[in-house]
Amino acid sequence: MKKKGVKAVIPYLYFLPMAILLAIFVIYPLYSLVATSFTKWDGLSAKEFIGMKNYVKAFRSEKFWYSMKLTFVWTLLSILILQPVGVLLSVIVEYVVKRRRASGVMRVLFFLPMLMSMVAIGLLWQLIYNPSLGLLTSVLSKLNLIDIMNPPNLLGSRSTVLAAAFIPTIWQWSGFGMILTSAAMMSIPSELTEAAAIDGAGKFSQFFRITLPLLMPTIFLGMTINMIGAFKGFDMLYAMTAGGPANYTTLTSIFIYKLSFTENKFGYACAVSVILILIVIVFTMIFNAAGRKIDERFT
Amino acid sequence: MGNGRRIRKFLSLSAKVMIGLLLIVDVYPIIWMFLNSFRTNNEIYANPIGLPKSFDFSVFVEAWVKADFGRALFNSFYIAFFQVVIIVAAASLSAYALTILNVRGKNIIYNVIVSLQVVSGQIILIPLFALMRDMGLLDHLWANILSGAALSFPLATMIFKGGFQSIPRELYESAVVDGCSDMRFFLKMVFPLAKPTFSSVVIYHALFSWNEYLFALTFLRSAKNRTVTTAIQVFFTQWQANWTQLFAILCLALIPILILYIFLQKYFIAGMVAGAVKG
Repeated sequence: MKKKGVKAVIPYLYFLPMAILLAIFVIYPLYSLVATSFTKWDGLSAKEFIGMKNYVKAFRSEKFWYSMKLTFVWTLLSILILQPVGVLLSVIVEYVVKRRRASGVMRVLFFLPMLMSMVAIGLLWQLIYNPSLGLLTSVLSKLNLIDIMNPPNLLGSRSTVLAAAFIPTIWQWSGFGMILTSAAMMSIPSELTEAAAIDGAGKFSQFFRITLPLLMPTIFLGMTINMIGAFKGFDMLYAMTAGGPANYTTLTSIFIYKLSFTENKFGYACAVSVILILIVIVFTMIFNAAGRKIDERFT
Repeated sequence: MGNGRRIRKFLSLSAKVMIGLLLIVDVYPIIWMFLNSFRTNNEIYANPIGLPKSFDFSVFVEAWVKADFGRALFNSFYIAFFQVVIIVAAASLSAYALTILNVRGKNIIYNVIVSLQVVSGQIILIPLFALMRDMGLLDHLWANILSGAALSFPLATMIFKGGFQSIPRELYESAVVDGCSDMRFFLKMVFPLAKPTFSSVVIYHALFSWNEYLFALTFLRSAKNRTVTTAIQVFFTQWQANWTQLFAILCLALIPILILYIFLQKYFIAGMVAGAVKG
């Protein structure tokens, strides 16, 4: 009887390495995050319990709301732009370009920026946007579109910095959207489009009436991935603008980092982190529910 | 009729031009980066876009030495290697128990693991930082290895579970009847059958770890512990005016991955897609 009990436990040992590391490095920090969010803490001295004060402070802080607004805009741009551009690239590579070799080469080239770390991307685009020596200034002035004596500083002014900072993200992640879409396109049985072709459907209507609906779950999946990535959006922005000029690109993630590691307001930063993860959870749940609906409808 | 053909020809030509332009816009930043690393600062100052006069590789050597790039490469490799080993070992064993072994409460365990996916490194950065300090792991490569591995478990487990599900359970049941142990079945059957899944997990998480920045920035403060990402970022703040070298260091950071990509292209793409689809 006892032997049987021991035997039933053995399979659970397979979870042990993961369970230990998850407990120490994910679950305990998560608990600690919530606990610290109710305290005043400079990172060194003892934590002082202050109840909900950090949360009240956040909701009354203009900087907090501004970072939230930026995060929301950044996330919305990521959801709406990255995957559709990827689909467009995929259509070009798989449909418009006829020669298979050319398609292969283009797939590799469009995917290339995905190999760079987001930090490297941020640094490279810093050089591209440099008002006096950047690639953009030189190209635009050669085309006579700007005055070389007075070049725009896209990363330096409030009105342009967010758009300018977002373009490298498109540059990098559209290649990912393309790969995702192309993989899904290849799994569509060719009988479907062939049958439509026999019925007299042109390439255009084949795509819009058969391929695109079948791609919808994948497109939505790409959007979900970009949504999650946008909430993280730290590396590239921090390397490129460090949240500036002023705090015009200080997304909530950068706001948290600055609060803790330059201002030593660890308790407050924890409260903002808790708010952020709650928002991420809500968004993820909405997207998962919508994803299930789309899966049901289109497959 | 002749007119229609001409219109079609015009359309196909303009499509080609558009695609060509798109390709140039897409690839030129990287070409620009490589070309300018061979041009002197004076050449760049005179004209930021142009061809190099000669191919002088000494700038790469200089940038390499100044950034202590060998060390950064070693650190990044060390972190990625051990992180991937831990991820693959722990996550594949869990996924094996979840799919093939007789375990009660599979769904609950799986849901707990999956729900932890919303936790990102950024969210728990502060408590992790405090934890590392208390454990004496701050400024130690193992801080990044362990925390990065733990945060990758949910996704890796999902990918493995997806891969293992195609292994028929009858295979396991008959092996058990023949006296095969669970561990032996895992090593002799599951591993060979699910090799593509293993390679996807390795590629996805190795690339992810290689490009990691936030933990390297926060936990590894001393110069000797810089990874490739923090090394190039520090290099940019230290040598701002030396554009040739800025380009060179970016190239140095890209080249190792580029070489791997050229040889393992199919696995790269499969790994990225698998990581994304299960995520």
